[in-house]
Amino acid sequence: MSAAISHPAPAVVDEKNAAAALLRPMRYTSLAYRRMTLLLLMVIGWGMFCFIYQAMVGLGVTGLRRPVFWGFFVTDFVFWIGISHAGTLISAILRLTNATWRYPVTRAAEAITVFALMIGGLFPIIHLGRPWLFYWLAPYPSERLIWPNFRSPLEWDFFAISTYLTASSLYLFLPLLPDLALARDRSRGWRHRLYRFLAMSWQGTQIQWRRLELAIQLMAAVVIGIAVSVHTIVSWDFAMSIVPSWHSTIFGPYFVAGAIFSGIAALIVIMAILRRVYHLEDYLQPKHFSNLGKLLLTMTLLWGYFVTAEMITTWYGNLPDEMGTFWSKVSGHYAGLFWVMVLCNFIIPFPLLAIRRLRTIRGTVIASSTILVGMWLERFLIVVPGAANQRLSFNNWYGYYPHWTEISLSLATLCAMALLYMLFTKLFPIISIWELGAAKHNAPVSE
Amino acid sequence: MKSATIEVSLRLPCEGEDAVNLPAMVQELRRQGIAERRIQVLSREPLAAFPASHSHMSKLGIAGAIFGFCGAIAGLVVMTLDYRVHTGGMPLIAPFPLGVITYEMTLLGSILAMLLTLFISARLGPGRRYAPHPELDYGEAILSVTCADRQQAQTVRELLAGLDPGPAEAKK
Repeated sequence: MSAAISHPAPAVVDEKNAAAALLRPMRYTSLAYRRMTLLLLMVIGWGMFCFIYQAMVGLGVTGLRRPVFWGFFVTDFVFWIGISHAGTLISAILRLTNATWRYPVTRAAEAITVFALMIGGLFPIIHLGRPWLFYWLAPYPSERLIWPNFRSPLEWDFFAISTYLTASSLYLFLPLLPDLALARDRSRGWRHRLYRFLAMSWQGTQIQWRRLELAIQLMAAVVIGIAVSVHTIVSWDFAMSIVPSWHSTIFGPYFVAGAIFSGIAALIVIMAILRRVYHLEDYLQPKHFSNLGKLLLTMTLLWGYFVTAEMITTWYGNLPDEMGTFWSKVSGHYAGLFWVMVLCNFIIPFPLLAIRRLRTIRGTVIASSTILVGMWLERFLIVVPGAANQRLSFNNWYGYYPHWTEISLSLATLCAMALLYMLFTKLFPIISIWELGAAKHNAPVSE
Repeated sequence: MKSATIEVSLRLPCEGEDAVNLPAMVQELRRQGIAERRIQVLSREPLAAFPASHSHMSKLGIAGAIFGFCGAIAGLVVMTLDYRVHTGGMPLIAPFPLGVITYEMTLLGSILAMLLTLFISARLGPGRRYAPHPELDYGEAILSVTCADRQQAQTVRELLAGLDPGPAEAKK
């Protein structure tokens, strides 16, 4: 038996201790936490400076040049929207399939969705030439008859992302209600007032429990439909154009699979950090990493299948318009990035996840970390080479290089994501306490 | 003027060897003439002993989806008619964006309808009254009866004492 599952902890941890242990991170703030917050705020501050500088001087300060007008910002946008699939989609699937090992995992995942969507939603605004006119995306009444262009993909994204953000926030909030009530009953001062407001007068009557469970279950089904549509719509931003290498029928499922792939990887990395920082070893056990590792393995294979299908079809078709992009990735200007992507997304994670002995916490975290790098590169290699080699049969016509503003803004948004998540863990229990208790009354935890 | 009610509550173990049969106790209270709406069982986790009751949430979710769909279509039609932008004969809102927008609004309508149903049927909301029970812990439940007056409270206290040997606490 592997190290990952050779020491199974009790199926359900004692809830009284669980409540105390899981509320503890909210009460005590370490010096390291404060230092980290300060560091993140400094990077975010630098990013804000870059954004203001870019807004004042114009997009010319970036590396975006003809014909590559989609670079780091669109790559980041697609990447973060993909990461957002970690939570709601994975959580909803696990809920609907009644996977009882999900209890310590779901909230951490759902929080990723909300914050990743917030960060992802920033990039279309950052990418606007005049970001102060971002409200033109919304269908607002216009006296001058200047009307939002409903044909623009930005309009689809506005509706898709705003719907997904609303649904995901509610999907995060509903299972939080009983834990907010617990925090309300065990806190004082401003925290008590905050939790009293957020707990919505939750008392824990049996009718409330039944209604809540039903609402979560029904919402899970609907949220899956939204999550799939959102990344499909993001993929259609590319596929509905007639740019060679973007105009592909498999882009919808390919993007959704990639999103779940990167989402699970992000979830594993964050779970490992939470486990170590907040000493949640009793709750985030090796079996959770092993089970998520199995899901990740499935997605690794699926990703490999999609990429192979896409590349082989393009190569065999040998259409001159597409071959420029193809060769720029395989052996041209972007070949280095392409093969690093293959290494990170398949060659390294596959053995780590497929061999049971290696599918430990460390193994899954290493695999997930390389996948996150690989998936960012994958998004970059969809966006940039396609734009750089439009309908040109030769490759390496223009090499896109990001400027310091783009790199800074990418790093700053990554730090913003980390900061939002850290603040969340300080305000709310990161593991669903009541669901741990409910697990005791339900079926035994499946391995 | 609304008269003050008295809440009589009893803390009971609901798991382990000492676990009590809560549904039977609730049934007994009902048999003694106490209205169902006055009896509540509070817990920190859902109790498996109490089965799911009938709810219209799924139907209202579908109704919300239909409302969202119709709202999206109506909004887009009204916009098209209201804003006379010259598009050279092309529709202001092409079929594809129309599909995306209506799909998203349909699902959003469904979710909001379910949320509203939850809040109303479970009596949730930031301004609602609730009796705090900070002492309630996991593995326990509070059987609570809201009484109209002192006399009824006394009757319920005696009744609860008869059901269980533990003392009944009274709260104003």
